[in-house]
Amino acid sequence: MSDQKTERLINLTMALLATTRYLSKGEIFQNVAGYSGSVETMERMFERDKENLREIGLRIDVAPLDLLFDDEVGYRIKSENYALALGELTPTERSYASLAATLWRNRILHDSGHSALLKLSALGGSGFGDDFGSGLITLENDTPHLDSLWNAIENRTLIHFSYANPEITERTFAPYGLSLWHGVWYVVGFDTNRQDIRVFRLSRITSSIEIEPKKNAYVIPDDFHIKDHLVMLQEPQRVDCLALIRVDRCHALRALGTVTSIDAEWDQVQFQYQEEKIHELLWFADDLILQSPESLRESLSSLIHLKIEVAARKSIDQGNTPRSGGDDE
Amino acid sequence: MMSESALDRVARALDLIPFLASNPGLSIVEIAEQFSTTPMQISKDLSLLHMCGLPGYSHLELLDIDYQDPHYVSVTDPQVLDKPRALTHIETLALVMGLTMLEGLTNDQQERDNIATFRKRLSFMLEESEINISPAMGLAMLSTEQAVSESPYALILAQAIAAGSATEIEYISATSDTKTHRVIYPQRLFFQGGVGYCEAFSDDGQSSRTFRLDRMISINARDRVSPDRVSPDHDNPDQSSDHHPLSESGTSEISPTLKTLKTLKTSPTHEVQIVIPKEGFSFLENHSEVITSAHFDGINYDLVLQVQSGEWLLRTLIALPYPAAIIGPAEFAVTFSTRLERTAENYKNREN
Repeated sequence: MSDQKTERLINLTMALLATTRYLSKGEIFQNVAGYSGSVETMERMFERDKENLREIGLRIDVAPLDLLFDDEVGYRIKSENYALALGELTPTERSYASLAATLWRNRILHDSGHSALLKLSALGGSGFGDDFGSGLITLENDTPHLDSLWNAIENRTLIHFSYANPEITERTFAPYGLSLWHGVWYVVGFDTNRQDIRVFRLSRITSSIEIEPKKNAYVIPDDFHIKDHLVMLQEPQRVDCLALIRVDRCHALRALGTVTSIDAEWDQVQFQYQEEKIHELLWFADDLILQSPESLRESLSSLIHLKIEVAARKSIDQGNTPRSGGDDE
Repeated sequence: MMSESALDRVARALDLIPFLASNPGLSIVEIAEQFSTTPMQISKDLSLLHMCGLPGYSHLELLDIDYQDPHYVSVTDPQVLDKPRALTHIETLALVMGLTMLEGLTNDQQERDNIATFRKRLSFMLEESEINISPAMGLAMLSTEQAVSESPYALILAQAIAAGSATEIEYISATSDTKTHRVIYPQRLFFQGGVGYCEAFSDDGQSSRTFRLDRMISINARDRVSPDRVSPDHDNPDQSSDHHPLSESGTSEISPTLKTLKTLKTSPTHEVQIVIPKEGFSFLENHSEVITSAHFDGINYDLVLQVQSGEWLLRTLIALPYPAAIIGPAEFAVTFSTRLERTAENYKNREN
């Protein structure tokens, strides 16, 4: 774009913003710097300019110039639609905004957060970064594929990719939404092969994302809410557990529960734990003895004996795996 | 630098004026940094904006910008561009989702409430904006709940970094299963694999360590200001860092899984060969940085690991939900078996 056109677009924005009434095309062509040539030429320029300004998010209102005759319309940008109307920010809010805007490592939200912060900075007042510094925290892992998926969702385009779990399968997918959970991005959508909603972990996508050219190829259901499909966000069921723990050991577990002293060697801890993660207690090895629930005690005991057997044999047979893995597709 | 899109320049120009009006006295270099472009581009933008204004285009109607001194740019008359443009839908989303995450980084209820109030103000804009009716990407399509593991002290540490002050922590070591009290000088805060870390100098000022946020069980901010210290040395292999995975599930209740970090100092000292079943696929994802070779025969993974802490590896393998075997070195395999047998002994006596 030439300087001339850039200049004209800025002048047009300012003119439409400054007016308190709708401006006719004639008034615009006559008064806004940059319009020249035949009427047809200027008409074409103006149509492209309007489109360009709308592309950068400006809302141009259009209304009949004469209430009785709607054959000629006028144009303006209302200040309430143009300007950031967030009111005054407190220094604390500015600090929160600064931190929130700089958390992102992925390109889309990083760039958007940065430009948001520039706009908030233009509201005046100091304090950005005063409380927390700036750019202190980043929350994500590297995020390949996120741009492609984001664009596919925005355009409602079908995508194709290879997915490892651990066997590699080819997927055709209508992406509906994205979730960042424990530092890793997931995509939720409709798997056209499985004919059902599926959740995929982006880091397990082994190919590039192939995006079909047709836009609006699917409709995201009105009642779609991503959280309804993220099982990891559901409150896990926990069971009451009782365990003996060696004195001055198992500190992480002590922090979770209530500890009572038994004797010089052992304490007892009462705590709640997810049943399906009970194997994690083996991390404390012989510093912990799970007492109840009895069923989980037996599960742990069986698992240890299986581990002893495999460790001695130094090989794993099919059937030596008590549970299946995989937390998503 | 990649060539910018044509309209990016118009958008930047419209944002530049209110920004300069509110932030007078910046140099062209500083402005370029803020707008992620080159000083030459900012100079061109200013030259162009200098010619823009309202119809009439006399000196009274033009934008009045002073940029003759490249070290001091100011806008004397922004005309109608005195206010920043409204946030776009995606800009608002970036802030709202970021604030949602910040709420999880503090256990101070007042602070959580303040963040939530601010987030709701922004969310309201998102919902009310007429431009954003039927957005292509809405809040219902995005989730950042539990974006990271629980880290209730992150904001306190961030404040300590900004203030250069000390912090007293009670900390559980992942490897040695011990609890210590320490005074640290936080230097850097970051998350990897959903787990938060704080890089800090110890109280003696002689060494730096990286602490896992989820292993801090209490914290007290101190007023003491950090003395001038050398920068943390990431390459010093003698410096220990606490980055020892506890389980592979990623959502351990005791402590979440984390990857061994390239950003942290690591000094692999043991090469260990192990076998895990195919159900251990996520083990490969979560510990990829310590895995130097992996072979999958359709049933099992044969892995070679380079680990800094043998104790970490033993505990991690014991806590897996499936069996694993250590192929070598032999002393590791023996220790592993011994540890398992001692643990099994605990469950032989049913009166425990």
